[in-house]
Amino acid sequence: MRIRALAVGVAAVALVACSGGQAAEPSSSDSAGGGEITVISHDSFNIPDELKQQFEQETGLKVTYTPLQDTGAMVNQLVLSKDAPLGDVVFGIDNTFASRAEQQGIVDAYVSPALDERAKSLATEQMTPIDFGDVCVNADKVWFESNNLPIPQTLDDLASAQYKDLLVAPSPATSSPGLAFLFTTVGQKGDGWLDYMRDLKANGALFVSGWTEAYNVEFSAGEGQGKRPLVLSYATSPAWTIGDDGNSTTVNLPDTCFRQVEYAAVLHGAKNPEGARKFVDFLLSDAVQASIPENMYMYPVIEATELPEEWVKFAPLSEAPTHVDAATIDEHREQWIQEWAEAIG
Amino acid sequence: MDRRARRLPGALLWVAVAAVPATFLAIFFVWPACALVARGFHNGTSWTLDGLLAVGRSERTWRALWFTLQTASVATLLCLATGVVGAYVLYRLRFPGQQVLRGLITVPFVLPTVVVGIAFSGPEPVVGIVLAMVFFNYSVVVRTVGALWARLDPRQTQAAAALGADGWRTAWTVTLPALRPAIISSAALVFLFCASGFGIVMTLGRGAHHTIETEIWFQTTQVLNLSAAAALSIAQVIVVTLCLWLTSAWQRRSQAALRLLPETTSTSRLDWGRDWAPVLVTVAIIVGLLVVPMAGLLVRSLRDAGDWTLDGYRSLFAGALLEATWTSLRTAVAAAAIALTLGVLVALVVSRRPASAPGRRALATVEGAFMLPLGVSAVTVGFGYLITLNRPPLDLRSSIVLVPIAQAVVALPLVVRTLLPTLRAIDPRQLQAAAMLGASPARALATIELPALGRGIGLALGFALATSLGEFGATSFLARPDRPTLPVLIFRLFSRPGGENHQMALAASVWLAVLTATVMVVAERARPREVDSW
Amino acid sequence: MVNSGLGVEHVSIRYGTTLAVDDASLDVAPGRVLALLGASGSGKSSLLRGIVGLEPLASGRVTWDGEDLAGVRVHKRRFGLVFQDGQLFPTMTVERNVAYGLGALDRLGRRRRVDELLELVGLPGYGARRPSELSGGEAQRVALARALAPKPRAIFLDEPLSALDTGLKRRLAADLSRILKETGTTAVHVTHDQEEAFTVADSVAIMDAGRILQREAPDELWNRPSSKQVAAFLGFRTFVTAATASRLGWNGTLDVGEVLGIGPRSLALDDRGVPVPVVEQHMNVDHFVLTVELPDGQRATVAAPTRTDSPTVAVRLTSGAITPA
Repeated sequence: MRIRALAVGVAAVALVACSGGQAAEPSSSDSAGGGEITVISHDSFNIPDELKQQFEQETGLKVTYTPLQDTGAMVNQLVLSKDAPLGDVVFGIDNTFASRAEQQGIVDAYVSPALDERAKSLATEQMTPIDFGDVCVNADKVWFESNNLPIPQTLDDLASAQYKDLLVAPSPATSSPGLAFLFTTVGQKGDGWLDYMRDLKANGALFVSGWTEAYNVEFSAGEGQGKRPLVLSYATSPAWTIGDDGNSTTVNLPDTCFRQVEYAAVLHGAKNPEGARKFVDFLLSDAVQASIPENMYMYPVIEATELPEEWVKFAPLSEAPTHVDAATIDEHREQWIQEWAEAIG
Repeated sequence: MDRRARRLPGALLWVAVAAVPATFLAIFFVWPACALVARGFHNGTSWTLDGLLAVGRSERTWRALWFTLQTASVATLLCLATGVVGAYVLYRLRFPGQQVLRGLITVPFVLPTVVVGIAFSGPEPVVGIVLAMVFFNYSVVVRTVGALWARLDPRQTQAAAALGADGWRTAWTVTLPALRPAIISSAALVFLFCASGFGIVMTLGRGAHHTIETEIWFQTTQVLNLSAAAALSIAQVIVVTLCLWLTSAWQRRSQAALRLLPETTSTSRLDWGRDWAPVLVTVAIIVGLLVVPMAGLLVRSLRDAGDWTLDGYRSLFAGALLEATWTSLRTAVAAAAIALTLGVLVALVVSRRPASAPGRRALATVEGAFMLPLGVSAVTVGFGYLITLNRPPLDLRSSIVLVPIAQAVVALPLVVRTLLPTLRAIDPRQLQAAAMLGASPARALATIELPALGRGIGLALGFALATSLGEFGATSFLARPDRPTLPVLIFRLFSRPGGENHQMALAASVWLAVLTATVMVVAERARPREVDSW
Repeated sequence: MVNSGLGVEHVSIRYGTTLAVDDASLDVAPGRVLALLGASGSGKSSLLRGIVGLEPLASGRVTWDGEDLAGVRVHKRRFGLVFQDGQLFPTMTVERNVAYGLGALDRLGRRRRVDELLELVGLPGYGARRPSELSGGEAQRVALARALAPKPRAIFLDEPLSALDTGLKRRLAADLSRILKETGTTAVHVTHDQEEAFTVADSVAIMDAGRILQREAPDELWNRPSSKQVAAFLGFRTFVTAATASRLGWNGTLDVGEVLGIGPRSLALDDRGVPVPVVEQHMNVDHFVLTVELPDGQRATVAAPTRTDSPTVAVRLTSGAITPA
């Protein structure tokens, strides 16, 4: 029976595959000894392997990294699994989700003593800031030069006829930078934010599903060499478009920025809160902080950390990022997204 | 009386067999999905239907529902029209390179939607969405219909031809009715795939077009409005159930036993004079819909800032690629093994032919139940895991085994749908002949039914592997330890800034496409052609 | 020995509300061949399927050597079945088809038995062929060999020759008769063709509308059908009284309440016979068939070697079926 042999073979391979997977996995039952932690993060969490190993050697902790999808989905998943938390420590809750996380009680208060003055000012009551960055509109300098058009500066510029059909942005309903842009408009336009969004849409702004589609497909200075010279991206993006002359071909618009701060926190109900706190401190260590720009594309929260040269030159932070109160955001986020989606999306 | 007693053990045995996949689905699909939906009807203190009503009143919901139905219907019709022609060319004719082509058409099935989005983004997003759906599902029709067609007795068409029917009339009156089981089966599959399509609509819809699936994603992951998501999930189940009910009603009317032959005796050599039309159509589709987008992907993966370069591939091979490939393959093999084992059991149970009408109705219901995972959102199931599989001994939420299990749930309906037509096509008298020769039901199963399954198994294995290799939705909602599969790796690379990451993402997409094509071709070859030994 | 061989007692079979077999009883002694003869739809195939266990019985029982088979599943009954269209397994060679029921034998034994049977059915050396490479007649021979191979205690043939052409059918019927006799196999042969039934069987049961009308040896059946219905099925379509029969030169006697059925071969041309008018004539395979008008005004046929030009022919009634009126 060749067929039977095949089936048995497949099943055997599957068993090997499964058991191989499990064997390499730390079994969760012996976590009582305190030697293990599980780190929950969003999908963009990334620190070099050497540093991970170094942490395990220094602390004796065995770390399992469990990346979830985006920040919003991650926070919602943590809310749903509150009774039996997925892990011990979470990285990546940002200032727009901070008050939900704290009000839902998914985290236990821990503000690391390793913070410096600037970082302390970013901390919440219960969570420790690790990195931050600005979400800003970026412009393709080359395109504006060759089209003899001044680069726009403000939100109002973006909605003016001069810049018709030039902007592409990820949708606030489906991506976190898109949502950050929505907060920018709320911060600057107040109750008129939705009217502004309508004006923007009427002025030919294109909303796409995510950052990749916006930057690498539609943006004229992105990899896809698209048609639109204005894109909603990050303040740091110009550092990745250095031309042959050593200058960046793009620039961010500081008046359109919203500041995102990403936190690490100890999960409520963590099996190993001690280990979790050690991990939070570890994220503030010099080595991890120094690795953040290259690996997570954010500014390290500790001010003394040395930044890459291109960042200093081409990716300056906004001096006055748009501010929206975290509690206000948490209270209205769903409503704003729904309003935006009904009106624009 | 005693007759009934005599039959019972056999029926009980089949119920026991059915219990295995049923338990699996109950734990890993029904329970999580229902638990999450139930949360939607609970506002924290009491049960309520407010959420349901709010969703029902929203114009956005109805827009999403109509958009889902319309795009899925149009895409399914296009898929059928082109796929049946493709099945003829790729399975009924014989020509060199055929095996490779059969493998190739499955590649779109696993391509990351970002890549597909780039290829199909145009001025008209709806056209792009429909075309991309056809692009994804063309192979489902070609392969399902082809597998049956390759074994149809050619004498029936010859009989029709002898009666003076021309080629078209023969096709219309003899061949198509004979193929109906496979056509209906693949149509249902394609419709459900299209209706539950997530990535394509997200990418190409640009936020302006929504399906029920993207709405569920939005309500669940972005705003945690579980009552809205629950209402939408119920709408989704209704659509799926309707679709399955319609197809099974249609299928029941056309369930004539077919005369099947071993493949080699019924295929014919490509005859240009006779076959030029279907060959041209198929070539046009393969080139226009498959080769061009894939070639575009290949070209882009080799170009950076206007220069040809292999940098993407170099840094990819130096980096995470091999590990992700290994993870992907291992997961795919495990998922395919689970899906295939359960799928064979389901197909065997569902293909029984009970004498009683209630028995037949019960089987039809069972069959429908195993198709449900196709139409229920991966988000609902993935989030459902969080609130169900959260206590020992079933605390699997963050276990690596949940990934192949979730993928197997997704692949299972496809496997069952692929296997069923081959079993259903067996003339019941073949089994009676075996029984008369002293073969026990088990031996008849092993010598008559399993060989018939053989052809389907290669195909089902291929589909299961491909589904798992390309699976992104369900995987990405699982809280799994950090072992990215290829699609997850691609997604991450695409979302990082910088030309190098983009280059690597494109190169990894090409690599995934090559890997899938290889797996499909190998699965096609490795299938047992016939079971000659006993 | 009443109890040896196959017994069928008061068997009824239903499909939904239709009664396909209505209270059928018969028995077949070991080594004997029974033909179930009936028009299509008469229930003969249903009865056959009921006997072998492929259809559930609504009532009645089937026995072998007196043992009730109700609790014996199909594959344990050690019966053989040949389908109308053979139902060879398309994925297996002829050899594997024939050997399918030989699980108990070792490899060599199987091979020998397969060769033996292929020889028996006149297809030596066909072992390596595929079913798709066989003609209709060859396929049926293989099907027969396959059914006989496990030495079943009885074999059941469900119109095995009806899909074949006439010449082949006659040859195969003769072969089948020989093979069944040589192997001493108990058999039930379902057919709608009386010639085939009489060639193959020791006794014939006539079925109509689900009932067994009569069961006799062929010559007895032929000479004394139990009803006009049976007689008509056998070709006796004209029934005459004793008076008419003797006027036509018949020298037998009829009891009260009996008539004589006249079939295609009952009348013979005889110069000294009774002249009757010729109504019509046509050719049939190797002879002419004349339709004549009998003295009582009914019509009957008589075989003639040539076409006749005269308006009357002289005939004599040589035989007939004594039938209850």
